[in-house]
Amino acid sequence: MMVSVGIGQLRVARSPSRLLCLGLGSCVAIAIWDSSTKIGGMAHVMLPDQSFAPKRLDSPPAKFGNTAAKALTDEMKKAGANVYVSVAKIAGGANMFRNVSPNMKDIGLENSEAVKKALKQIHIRLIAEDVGGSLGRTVELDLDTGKLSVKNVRGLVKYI
Amino acid sequence: MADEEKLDSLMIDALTEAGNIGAGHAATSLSKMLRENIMNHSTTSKVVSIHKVPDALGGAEKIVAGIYTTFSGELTGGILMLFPEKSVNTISKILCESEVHDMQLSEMQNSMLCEIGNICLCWYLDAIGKLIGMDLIPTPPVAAYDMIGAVIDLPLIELGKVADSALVILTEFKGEVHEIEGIFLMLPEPESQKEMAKRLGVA
Repeated sequence: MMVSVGIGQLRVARSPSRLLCLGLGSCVAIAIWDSSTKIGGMAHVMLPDQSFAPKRLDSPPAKFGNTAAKALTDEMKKAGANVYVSVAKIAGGANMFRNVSPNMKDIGLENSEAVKKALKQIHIRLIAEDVGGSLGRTVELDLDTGKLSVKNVRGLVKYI
Repeated sequence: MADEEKLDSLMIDALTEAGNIGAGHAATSLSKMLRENIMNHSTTSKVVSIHKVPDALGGAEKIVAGIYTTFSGELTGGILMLFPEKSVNTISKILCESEVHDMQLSEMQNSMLCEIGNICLCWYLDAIGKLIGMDLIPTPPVAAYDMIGAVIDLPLIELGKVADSALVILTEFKGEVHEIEGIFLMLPEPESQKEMAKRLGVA
């Protein structure tokens, strides 16, 4: 079964399901996988942290880079995963628009940096990443193998 | 949660009508640019969670050219024009005498789309501004050619700073002769939705 994770959301599933984020732009997908139980989770992060949305402090933790990974591993634990041996992969964080005006910062870059920092804080090892650039990505986590496929608009697929 | 305060249907109808008038002016300017009669379908609006917006636009993986502008001043929000793959080619043939190769816009095609967006979206905002007696100041537009999810995600990130749900005001348009279709899309921020409704006399 394909489990699609929408912008600002997180989902946990178990093999043989697959988790996917469709059309990531500046958003970042965090994929965490536990090989011992073949349980995995995916979060679709929109913003680096709550300081970007001071009026929306009640937004779900999956929306923010600094809180998504923790929320995701908490859900994985509830599902029975061993998060201490789990590994993470991330993809996304593109800068979609050329000539973006200076007042719009490179939010994609900030998102991926926030996510990496948060993974470090909760001691989840980041083993692969495909971030940056100027193209959108669709990512899919195979919960049987832990492989993350990353496909762009030109049909190029890579596995990380 | 201020954001979740429901807009009543009267308010949504008023904002939809404002979008309809904006899109009407934008379509007229697009017609002149393309020397082709561009006609709008009626404008529709709905409130959906931010994560459901790509589905409301035809699915996250559909390939489109998107032109995006934000507006500021007395009201804030985002406004976009989206063209599906085939229409981008048609327009590019008319205005640039070239097609899109390898899913990649040339500098010329990118500038062309920005200019189309600049003119159409300015007309859209200008019409609404006149209607409600406010100045809506657009930023210079930016363009991308990619999956809808990736194109819409910066606008949704901007909206996500102040909301978890979106009021999607959408107008589909279509050319009379050539294969040109697309949508105008406005995403006003929650406080601006209320202010607009107030100015339209329904809040």
